Amino acid sequence: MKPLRQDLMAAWWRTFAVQGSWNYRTMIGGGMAYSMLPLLRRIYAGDPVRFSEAVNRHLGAFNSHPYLAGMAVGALARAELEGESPERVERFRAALRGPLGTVGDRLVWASWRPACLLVAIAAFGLGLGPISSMFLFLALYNVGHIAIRIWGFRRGWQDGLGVSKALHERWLDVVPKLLAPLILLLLGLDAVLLSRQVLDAVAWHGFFAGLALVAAFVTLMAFRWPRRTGRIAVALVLSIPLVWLGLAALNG
Amino acid sequence: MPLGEIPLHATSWLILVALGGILAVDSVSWPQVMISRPLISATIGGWVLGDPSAGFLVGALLELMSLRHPPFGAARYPDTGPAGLIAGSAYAAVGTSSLGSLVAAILAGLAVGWIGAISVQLRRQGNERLLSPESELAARPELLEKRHKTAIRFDIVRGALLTAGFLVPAILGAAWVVDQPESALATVWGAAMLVTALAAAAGAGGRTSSFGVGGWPLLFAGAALGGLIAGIVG
Amino acid sequence: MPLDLFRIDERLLHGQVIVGWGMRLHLDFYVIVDDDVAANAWESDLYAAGLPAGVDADFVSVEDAIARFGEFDAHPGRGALLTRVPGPMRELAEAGLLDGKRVNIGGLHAGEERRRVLPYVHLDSRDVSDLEAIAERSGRVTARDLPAAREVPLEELIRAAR
Repeated sequence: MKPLRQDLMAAWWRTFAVQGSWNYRTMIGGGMAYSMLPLLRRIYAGDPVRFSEAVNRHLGAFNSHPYLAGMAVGALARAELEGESPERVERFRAALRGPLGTVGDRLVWASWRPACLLVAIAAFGLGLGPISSMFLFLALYNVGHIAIRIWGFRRGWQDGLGVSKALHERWLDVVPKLLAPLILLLLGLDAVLLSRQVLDAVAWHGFFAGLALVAAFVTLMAFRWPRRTGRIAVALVLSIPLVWLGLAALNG
Repeated sequence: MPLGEIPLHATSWLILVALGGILAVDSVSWPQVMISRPLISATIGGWVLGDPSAGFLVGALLELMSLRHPPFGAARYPDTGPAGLIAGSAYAAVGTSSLGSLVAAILAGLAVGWIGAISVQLRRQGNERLLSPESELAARPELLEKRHKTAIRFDIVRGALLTAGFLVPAILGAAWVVDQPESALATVWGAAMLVTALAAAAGAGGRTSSFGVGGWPLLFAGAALGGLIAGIVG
Repeated sequence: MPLDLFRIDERLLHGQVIVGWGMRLHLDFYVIVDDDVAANAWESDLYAAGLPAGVDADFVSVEDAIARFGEFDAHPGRGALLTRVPGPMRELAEAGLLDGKRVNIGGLHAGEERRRVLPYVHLDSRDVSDLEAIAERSGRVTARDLPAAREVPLEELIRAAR
């Protein structure tokens, strides 16, 4: 039987918790089955054997960007509804894992989220209050977040096995490309504005030019060797208490 | 500083512990609206203790430092909800007049983030047991629903426990640092190192987000713009 | 340019490969050798959907891979060849195409007969004999999920599988 509107709504809502039982064996397999239950219950109404076989299928190992998991839920439910063979559904599941992860990581984690965070930090640095800046981030970010979830679930449910069409849409590539320069600009801007706040907090502005030069050099190093420079930076932060204690001991 | 001056009372402690649970569960389990980001959790922490600006500053510094970690794959990443909350409240609690308290708050944030990551791993191992055996769950989907929700509840408890365990120690640590005699040289070193770390974080974060486009010249253009604005405003 | 990476990974094209290896090695194209995927457009389209713009993927059967291997190896860009399981890689090795090449094991899921030898590698007896055959006709076979991870030699995997 075809799922009703309320089943679709229930499944979409459940995908917010798709990573709720994340584990090393099946990753979000449990969350996928949990999200698909309202749909599977309807599709296999009156056929308990095939129903529990389907639940078992969707409990298996799966991973995806959480916001695009809804696309997988919709597409897999469509495949089940259209009576695709279990073997085919399994293969479809396996093929979905890769692109849903990489597309989502690139679009959301590496692009949309840092862009929104940096906008809020810039707003604060330019004088907007902390609470307003915080809500600016939450509102801006979640408009995109919810839109992606709605789009993904709809397209998955519409397209079923043909969902790769949706994943080939140009905006998925264009948005990260457009945001990349903005992120870089804002990163530079925010780093300087925050540095000023740190220096203001201690009322220290000596050797400013020298410090700016060192900072520029470190930025370049980090761009080239992010991992190594990151480790050095952590070590430098950890050196602060040591230097404090050392100097206190010398003076005391 | 006299402990009586710290604006943490039983009520605010309870509020923060409850928030710790809510901010922790948002990160991975539900609903991922990103109140768990250090920028937001630290601002909330500062807000509860009366100084959201202090919280925002700590949060922004922690945020830039963790920008390089998009969770690709199943690698371990810091649990930023409780960590930011604790860092933001610690800085707000002891006052923003010294660099020492800022450094203490940041270090507390990094440390709790790291410990939190271990607790996330332990919980994920626990989830493996909650979801076995699959055949039984498939035969009884109500059980699957129950177990899945239990896993999410555990995550809330985990975040609340983490906050309950480390909130007061972090604030006391920051208060202790504030009481230490300030040396001008130490302050200069601390400020310079924080700025250097920020630069490194910006570079690494830029590399992650640039996908090979444009690259560092844009970052420097942004920095120059920042310098200009800072020069005009300051 | 000769192919840079030969990898056995059940997940074929996914984040670890595209971001972890692809960005590190600056890969321009992937050759996916799998009879089933090559025969199903919906499946190959889906795998290709995760690729960044400007990066290509060619889905070929084992037979085609052997026939067209020279073409892939002479491609001007940097490329990687992926198979889902050790079997097809063995056929390439036995056709003499992998002489002196390093073969990377990136991920094999748990299965009924398979034993866990690394968190991301599970082997059954058929996998072991396929991998041994690959080792005989190639440079070196090791397991490594990401470029920064430790490289585990095949001998160690086989010891753990027995």
